Amino acid sequence: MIKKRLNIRMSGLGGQGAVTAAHVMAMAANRDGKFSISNPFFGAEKRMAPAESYCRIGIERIYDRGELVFPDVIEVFHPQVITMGKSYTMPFYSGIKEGGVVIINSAQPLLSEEDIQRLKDLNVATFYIAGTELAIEIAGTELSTNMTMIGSVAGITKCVSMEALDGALQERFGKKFVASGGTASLDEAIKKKFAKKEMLLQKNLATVKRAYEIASEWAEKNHVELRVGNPAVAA
Amino acid sequence: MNQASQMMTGNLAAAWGARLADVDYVPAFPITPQTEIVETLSKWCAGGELNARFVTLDSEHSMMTAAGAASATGARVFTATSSQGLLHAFEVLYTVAGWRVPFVLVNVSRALASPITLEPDHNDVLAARDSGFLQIHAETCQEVVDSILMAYRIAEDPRVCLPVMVNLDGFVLSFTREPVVLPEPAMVHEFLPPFRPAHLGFKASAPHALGTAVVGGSIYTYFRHQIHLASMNGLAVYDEAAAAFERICGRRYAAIDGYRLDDAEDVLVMTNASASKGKAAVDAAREEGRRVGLLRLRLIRPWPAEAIRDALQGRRAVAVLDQNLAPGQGGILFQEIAACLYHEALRPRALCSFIGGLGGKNLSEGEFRAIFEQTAEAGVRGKGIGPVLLYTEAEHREMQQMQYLAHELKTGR
Repeated sequence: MIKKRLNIRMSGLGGQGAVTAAHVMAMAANRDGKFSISNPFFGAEKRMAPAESYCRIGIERIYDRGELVFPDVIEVFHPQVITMGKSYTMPFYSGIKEGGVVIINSAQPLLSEEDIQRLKDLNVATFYIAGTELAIEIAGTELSTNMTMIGSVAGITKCVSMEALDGALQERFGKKFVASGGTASLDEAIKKKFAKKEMLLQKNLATVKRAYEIASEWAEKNHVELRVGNPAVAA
Repeated sequence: MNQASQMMTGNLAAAWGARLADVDYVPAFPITPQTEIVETLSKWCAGGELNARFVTLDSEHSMMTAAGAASATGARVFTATSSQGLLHAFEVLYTVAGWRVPFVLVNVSRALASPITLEPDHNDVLAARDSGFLQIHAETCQEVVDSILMAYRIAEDPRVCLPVMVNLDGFVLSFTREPVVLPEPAMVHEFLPPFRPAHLGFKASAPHALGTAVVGGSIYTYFRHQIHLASMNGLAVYDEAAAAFERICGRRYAAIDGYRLDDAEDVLVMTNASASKGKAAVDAAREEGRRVGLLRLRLIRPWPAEAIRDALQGRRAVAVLDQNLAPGQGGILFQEIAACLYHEALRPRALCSFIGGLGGKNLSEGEFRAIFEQTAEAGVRGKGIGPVLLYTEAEHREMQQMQYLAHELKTGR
């Protein structure tokens, strides 16, 4: 299915980087020459409390803003979104469009028979990825879980390019080293800090890439096609 | 959506507005959803990217006092707040407007307590409509940075000399990342020359007083009316600033923004970021064959009555969607729209008042459809409706469930 606009809803818990993930996706889309807009939704800024973010990517100017009620893609960053109902919308997939995709960060299946049937009725494909495990394995920290979620949605939908994601990550996290103008030891300390940051950036990018590959493979194997583009031209 | 644009939040765009305006003094007090603005400015002041004095105050009341006092010394001042913070500074808003000090205040709209929330509506900024501050309301992040630059030029114009408030919606704009093209510093320098006030220049070595006590009312009336006249001057000064901004930076911001108005029978009036959704709803309604358009109010104070009349005269019906609620009255902007159309011979056959989007409540496609349907019917009937509260059946059910749960908890049944 090719659509003029892709609506992505990311449901996570405070501290997982769902807000950052949506922003990075929107930044990457902008770099690719598409129209994009992202915004978060949360209550008190509290760890492990429900936090949701939205990213809209399209080929035309986007007038829609705020809460995303009808997503094409839903990403679940944490099992508790489903198992403990830590979501602003119940069930977590409410509003999902026909032919959409649900991406869940979990090593085990989490959906009930009823959920599976309802998603099947809507022709919604479900993709599980052990994102947290993957983040620990590649980046050495579960803080990079959001990178696996970025890679997953990009891998399945190709709504942003890897090149643009690389650029967006540099823009969001990268900083050039500037000499402090102070003592040599201070400069050394700052240099070390930046070297560490640079390494984290590379690890994050590697995590995105790995998730992108896994998700691409899955989409190909299962014939899941959900793309941003001009449907008229495609037809 | 080009290489020159950066994806930034409304809050970051606001901070950039202050940075590009090369402000001298930033008195600050954080409040959600404004915090990112002062956080960014404090970082820039510490890092030397912005050559300004950043001072944290103990409350918004003292923050606004400091802003007014610093401005009276001839410094260019920027500050920002939101919601309860704006209300905490309320006394000072009126006071500093009377001092005729031209600083810029960004308000990030957030609904007022109680119950307490973080999400936007416009009861905070509209409560300040009679303070003497001019008000510009932004729809996009691009408009935030551009409006701040325009605000300084208008505020500092000798015909105005009043503080200006720039409003952006919390969450829907403050935390929303969208493409923004930052004006080049050279462009900003041409549009907004350094602040060199002839009449301000408080110095410790030459003490004098502003806003002293007066009795009897005649002096008081004179000065308060001066504020009114200066604000009204703001209409022409705004237009000049908009023309200069377009010439230099290439983007045009009229006091009011019409969307598909040319052949529109019925017009929906909105403000701020949700007007984007209103525009999408206009597109959708047009596809269904409805000849509708949208009028977004950008300049709220001074009130651009003539421009509004021109845009709305001869329409079949006009609907005002107020994202605010004046208890015991209805929608705030509806009253002002109605008042300025009263003497118009070709006034619309019906005026409809809708209240929606309170406390960040989503404005759905269905709600917009209902607005257009009910407004068309009112136009045919020749009689307006309202205030109509936008509240869907699903929302009502959700509320009932909550009440049921609360009752169960309280009674144990």
